[in-house]
Amino acid sequence: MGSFVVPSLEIVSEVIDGEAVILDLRSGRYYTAEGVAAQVWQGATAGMQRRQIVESCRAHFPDQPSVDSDIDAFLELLVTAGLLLPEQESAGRDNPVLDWPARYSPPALQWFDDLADMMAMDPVHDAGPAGWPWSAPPPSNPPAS
Amino acid sequence: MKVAVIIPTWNAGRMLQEALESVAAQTVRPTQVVVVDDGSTDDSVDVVSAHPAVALIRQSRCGTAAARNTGIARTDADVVAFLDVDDLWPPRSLSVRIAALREAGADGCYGVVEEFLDPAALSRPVRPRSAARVPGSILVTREALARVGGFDESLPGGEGVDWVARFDATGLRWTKVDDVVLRRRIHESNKSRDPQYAKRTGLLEVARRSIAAKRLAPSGRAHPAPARESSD
Repeated sequence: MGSFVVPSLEIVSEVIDGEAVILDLRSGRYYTAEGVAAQVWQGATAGMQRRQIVESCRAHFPDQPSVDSDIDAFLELLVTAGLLLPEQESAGRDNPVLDWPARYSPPALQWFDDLADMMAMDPVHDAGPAGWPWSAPPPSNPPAS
Repeated sequence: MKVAVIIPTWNAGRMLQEALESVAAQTVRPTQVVVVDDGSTDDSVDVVSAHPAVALIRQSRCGTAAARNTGIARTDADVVAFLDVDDLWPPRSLSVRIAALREAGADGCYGVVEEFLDPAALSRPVRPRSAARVPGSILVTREALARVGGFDESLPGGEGVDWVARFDATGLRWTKVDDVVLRRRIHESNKSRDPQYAKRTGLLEVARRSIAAKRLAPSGRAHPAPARESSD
């Protein structure tokens, strides 16, 4: 495995306070990844090479023998879940500084389908700023692209 | 059993007329129909005045969640249903949901949603029919509304998903009907495909809140189908 891309614009995520929340609008399924897992997600979605992520993690947790295999298994899981797609050559995107947690725990992914009926159904009506269907007052500034 | 229907609207006179007609055609007539006009400048007020049994509340522009909350505050009905102004109910929508709610003794009832293309929209595929808990397909008891609270007016969108997630987290119970209870209008631009969509519309925040609520819930709590699956 080299680096990765997120295969669909309908997969959106945010890493806040060491937790990655990932939402796949195609299925309505949402995911959480914490600690080491959130940093691996951060790195992979920024275009880092698998090797770079592993090296960064190893540098932080030099006494952890399972870093390599743990990260490989986790990346494999993300690929299997359809959240990442391996690419052979990195496009050389961002190279973020990963903020590893103080304590190592093997990266894990939890997922939930309990709101899928709505998440996948486009619950927001947003036809235009002049009238509904539109869910909120139009923003005063256009969202950053 | 008193049944209220709350319809938020904003500059959607043509669609409001159709929505009100679909409510008037219900085989079980609601006790109250409340249109909350969220600052329209079109002919919405005239449309409502042609329906003398419909109550109109006018307010300055506050958004869908606030408009629904205004309607909730106005009604004293035993059960409340919501219809978005651009959507339609088949004639038996209310009756099948009310009957199922009564029979199951549940806190809320929902059914199948069918999409249709707005005549003004370019042709595009619509989703197959499926059961879903969007505001227009749910009917909930007054007690459930009191326990869950109103729609979150701070979210930029996704407030219906958030409300249902809070309903679930409160331990309340749904019952479901297999009938189509909502015909959902698909506009050309219903779902923006841009990468910021879920952030802009609050869905990612709703997911984050739902995860946090699950962490706080005592273990063994009767959450409906937590759907936490093992990974292998």
